[in-house]
Amino acid sequence: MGLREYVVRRIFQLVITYWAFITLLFVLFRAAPGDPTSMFVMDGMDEESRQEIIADLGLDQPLYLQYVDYMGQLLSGSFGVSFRYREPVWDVLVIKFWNTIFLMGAAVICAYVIGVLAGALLGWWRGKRAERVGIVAGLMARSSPEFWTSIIVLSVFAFWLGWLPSGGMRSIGAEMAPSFSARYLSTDFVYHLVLPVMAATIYYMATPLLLMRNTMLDVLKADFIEIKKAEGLSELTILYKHAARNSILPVVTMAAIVTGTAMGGSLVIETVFNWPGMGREMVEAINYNDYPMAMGAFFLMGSVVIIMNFVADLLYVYLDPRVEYK
Amino acid sequence: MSDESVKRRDVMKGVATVAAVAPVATAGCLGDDDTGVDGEPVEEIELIVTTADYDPVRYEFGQLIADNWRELGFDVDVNPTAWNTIVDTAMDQQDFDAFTLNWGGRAERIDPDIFCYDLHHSSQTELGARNQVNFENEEYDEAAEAQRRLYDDEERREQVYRCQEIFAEEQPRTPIANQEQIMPYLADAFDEVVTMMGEGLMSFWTAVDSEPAGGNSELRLGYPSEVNNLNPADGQATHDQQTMRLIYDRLMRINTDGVAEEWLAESVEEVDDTTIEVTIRDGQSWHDGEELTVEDVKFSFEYLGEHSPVLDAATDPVEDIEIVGDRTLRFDLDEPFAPFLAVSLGQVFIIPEHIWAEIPDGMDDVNSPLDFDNPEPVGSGPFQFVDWQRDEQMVLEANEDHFNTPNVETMIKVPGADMSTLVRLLEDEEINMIGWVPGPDTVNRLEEDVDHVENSSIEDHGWYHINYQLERPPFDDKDVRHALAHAIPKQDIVDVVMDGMGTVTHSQIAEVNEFWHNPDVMEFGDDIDRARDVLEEAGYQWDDDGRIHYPAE
Amino acid sequence: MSRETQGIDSMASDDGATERIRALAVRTWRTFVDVFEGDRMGQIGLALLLIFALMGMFGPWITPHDPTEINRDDDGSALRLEAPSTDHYFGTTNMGRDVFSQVIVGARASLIVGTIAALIAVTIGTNIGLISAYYGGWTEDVLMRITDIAYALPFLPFVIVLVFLLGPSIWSIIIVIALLLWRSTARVVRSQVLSHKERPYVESARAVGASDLRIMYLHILPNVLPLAFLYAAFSVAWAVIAEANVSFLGFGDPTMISWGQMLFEAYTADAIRFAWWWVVPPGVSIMLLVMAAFFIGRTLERVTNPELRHAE
Repeated sequence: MGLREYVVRRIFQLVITYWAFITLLFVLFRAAPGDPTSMFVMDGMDEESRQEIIADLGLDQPLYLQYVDYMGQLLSGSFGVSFRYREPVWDVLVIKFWNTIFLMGAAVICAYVIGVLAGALLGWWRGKRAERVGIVAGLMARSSPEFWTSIIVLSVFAFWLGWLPSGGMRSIGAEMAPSFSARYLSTDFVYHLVLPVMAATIYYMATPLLLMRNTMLDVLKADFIEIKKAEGLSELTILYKHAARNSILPVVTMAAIVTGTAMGGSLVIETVFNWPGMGREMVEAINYNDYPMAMGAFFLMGSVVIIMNFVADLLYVYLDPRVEYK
Repeated sequence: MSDESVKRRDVMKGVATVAAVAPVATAGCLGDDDTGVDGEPVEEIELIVTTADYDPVRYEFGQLIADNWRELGFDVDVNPTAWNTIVDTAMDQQDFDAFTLNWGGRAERIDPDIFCYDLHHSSQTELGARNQVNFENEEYDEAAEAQRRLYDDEERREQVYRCQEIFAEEQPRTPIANQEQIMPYLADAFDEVVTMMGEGLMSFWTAVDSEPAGGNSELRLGYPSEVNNLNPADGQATHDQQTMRLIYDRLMRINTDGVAEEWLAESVEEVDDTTIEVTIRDGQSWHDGEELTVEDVKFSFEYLGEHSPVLDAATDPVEDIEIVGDRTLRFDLDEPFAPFLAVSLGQVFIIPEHIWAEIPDGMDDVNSPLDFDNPEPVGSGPFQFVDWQRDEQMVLEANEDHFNTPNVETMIKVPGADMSTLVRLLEDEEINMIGWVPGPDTVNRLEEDVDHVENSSIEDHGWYHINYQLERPPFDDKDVRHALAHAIPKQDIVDVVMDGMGTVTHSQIAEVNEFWHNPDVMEFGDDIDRARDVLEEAGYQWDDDGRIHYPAE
Repeated sequence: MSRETQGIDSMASDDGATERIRALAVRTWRTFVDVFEGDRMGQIGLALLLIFALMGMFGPWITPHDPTEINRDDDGSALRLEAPSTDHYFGTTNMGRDVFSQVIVGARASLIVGTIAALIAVTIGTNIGLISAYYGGWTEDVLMRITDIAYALPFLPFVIVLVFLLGPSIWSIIIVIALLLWRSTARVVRSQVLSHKERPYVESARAVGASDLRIMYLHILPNVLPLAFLYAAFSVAWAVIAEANVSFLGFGDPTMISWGQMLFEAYTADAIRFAWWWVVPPGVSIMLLVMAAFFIGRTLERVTNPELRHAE
């Protein structure tokens, strides 16, 4: 099978996966207990009014009609209107989507830069005491759920040292920058970004770190390294120029998958750091029975995961000529 | 409701029934044994409480109550349940034995009508209505109806007193405590902070009348959740209403004493007991510069009455509205309705006809007024809308043309993922006030260790209580309800669970609501021996295992 | 091990499977002993796991206080947020509950979720991997598409949504975690089985007329079991973390004390700022339990093909 055929087939699979994912989403949320008016009963709404709202939201329609509606909406690029905000889900999510991408994207990049460099170093130090310490540290980071690392960095850098703000994405009262780039490149934004990124980085760097070390070990065993050594190249040059370059393949493909996983991690990090992102929105939407919003957020996160998996597959066959297109 | 949703409910109910029946069946078997008593054992009681994270107070006092009831020989199963499920099964379907609840104190609930009539009149017992306990008492109904008809406060109070007496005597719900609303703010940021019963620092008057200290011109108010939307026809959540009332005026406002006073209305006159004549202030204008007219007022009542599910009850008593002068209009009521000024005129937002007449017909993609997200609300209130970044901040600006211009220039509303992030923001001086009650430990810590934070404190007229399903045994027996109520450790709940930040209560109208509160009703609680006596006198017996049985037939 | 071999014994037939399997079992056992003997980390992992297992099993009987009881002063007021003392080794919570006792009892939730979810996940995953690789064709296509779909679901959000739907009980948490965790096992087991499928011993079994089921479960499965054990260890780790995350976001089982829930309560009570004794013990416990699983996993990895990559 040629590369092109493989890609076409992979795209076809992508479509099927997407359809199954979307349908699952619909089934899940329609089976949800309660309705969006539940949260407000104590605020003084009577039964008649609740039924009015439910009818207004189309929730009294038969399920198959709701499904058809929903599919139609998605195909036309709309997620529907939020039960809670009365605003199109997309309008709300598009801002939060970028907030989350900047947060988790920065975290994954940091995790990879630190993880890959440190992992290569550990591979180089194989058998030494330092390697052992490094591995234990890596496993420790990976064994700490994100909320736990968040609590620790928060305690140290916000409460104890007082260097960084304890939450939020911008200083309160700051004028909202009109342009996209100005919003995400301001020093104020970066200042608020540091702590949550740090917390996420600690958790996510363990995977590339350990993976890089393992592949480094394999590569270092290979013959050509010995040849380079014989050629008189310095150890560091061999490490970063040759061995590392050769072991980057599995690490890169794994990056795509870790990015997908990080989407899920945003639920916790954003809650602890009061970050106005998609993950926190999803948790809130569930608590408010706001199905369209929760579905929209879930859909976007799932999309990132699906697309990242797809990219990982393509990258893998592209980078590694040995792979059969199967 | 469609077939599908009915089916879903039925399925869920089926599951619940199976779960509930199983232990009862076992209990029935026990009764056949030779236990030395004649009557059947009393069924297991399922006590539904909120989860600890939704409300630690309700969760904790549920456990304490269950302990004491078990000591009385009842078999109690405490079931912590997610809030949306409680709403669905207990409040909506009335499918419960007993559950804990808290009616929040809002400005409109200072008027005794909701706590007297809506919650306990026998006409409110159908599924979904608010008399979930199925309390039906003719004498009570008479008093609850009478208080609605009497415009004279003293006469009306007699009937409200009567309601409280019968309620206490019957104990369809047992009131437990009123919370003390302690909300923190930055001491340096304000010279004077206004607070209000039931609302604390979230009150309208806090935003409008608090006096900022020199050098500060902003009120930065944190609240542990975000506003849902600013559509005056929607406004399902209390928080939405609390925000919109800053932007939109009302004819009357409930003042800090809990009395409805003229606001956008200049004068209100009772022509007779079904006719109210209102004259609005002269020279008022909308935030977009248009003049506010008496037609806008008429339009608001008609439009919101037709389209708003939430304000429906407030506009219900109105039969007809007639414009009788440049600034005067006349409300004709179906029947005399004493709470009209507070509940109706004090709740309905005045919205601009020149904008809302177009909605939904003049808009694409908007099918009903409820679908409209009202991105730039135009009102006539003391604050005008500037900008809203959801989950970050909402900026409001003082309306300099208003007859009651706020003392601050800007108000920034800041939502938090939870209280803990808000307290952090307050300590870091990013915000200067929080409109919600932190846990007792945080309050103590702020009081003792954090010098720049001050706590404002006021009693809430909302009440923590426990509900009994009067249609189910053993709660259909008034003696059992009395005994259960006696066994509730009210003082311990206030001391331990609320860390002293509350007051024990015996009535549905709180003590802090001085004018309407009846101090002389039957009192229950903190007396487990008395509870045992009551049961014994009623003929209940205990078997060798200490389990309680019904009186012999 | 021995009981397992006996079980297989009784099903033995003339294709020599019994002897082969017994030999394999003995060999595998020896390898396990060998690798753990030479590996300090693996030993630490086993020791930690043993301690937690004892806590989980006997927790309720060895706690100094009832973990749900509100401890009171002599005058009846609750002992709120007391710092550690000889009476309360890890101090008390904001409701006067003993943190030490809660940590001990909390081990049970993590262990139950970790082991049962991992067991279910690995069982499902191994079977799907085995069946799809062995039969190939449309069976493989369908099963692998299902695996792809499982991979398309963002882990934590999916768990939260489903736990919300099924109701917050420990069993729904277990089921939901298992529903997603099997996917990685399925993929690696499949690739391993693919390589085994063509080996001579499978050919010879087929030649003597062994049934498909027999070949799959008696011949191939024993060879991929070490891999399954490895993934079981990792699954325990992921499941414990997932449970902690779910509880921390407030969707945990409200009738059960778990470490994630303790941290959630401490966090919502704003105690992370001053009551370190309420925050550190459950956090460190989660970390140590997960580390134990990873340590054991690393050691097991030496038994299996070192080429295999295991990150989720």
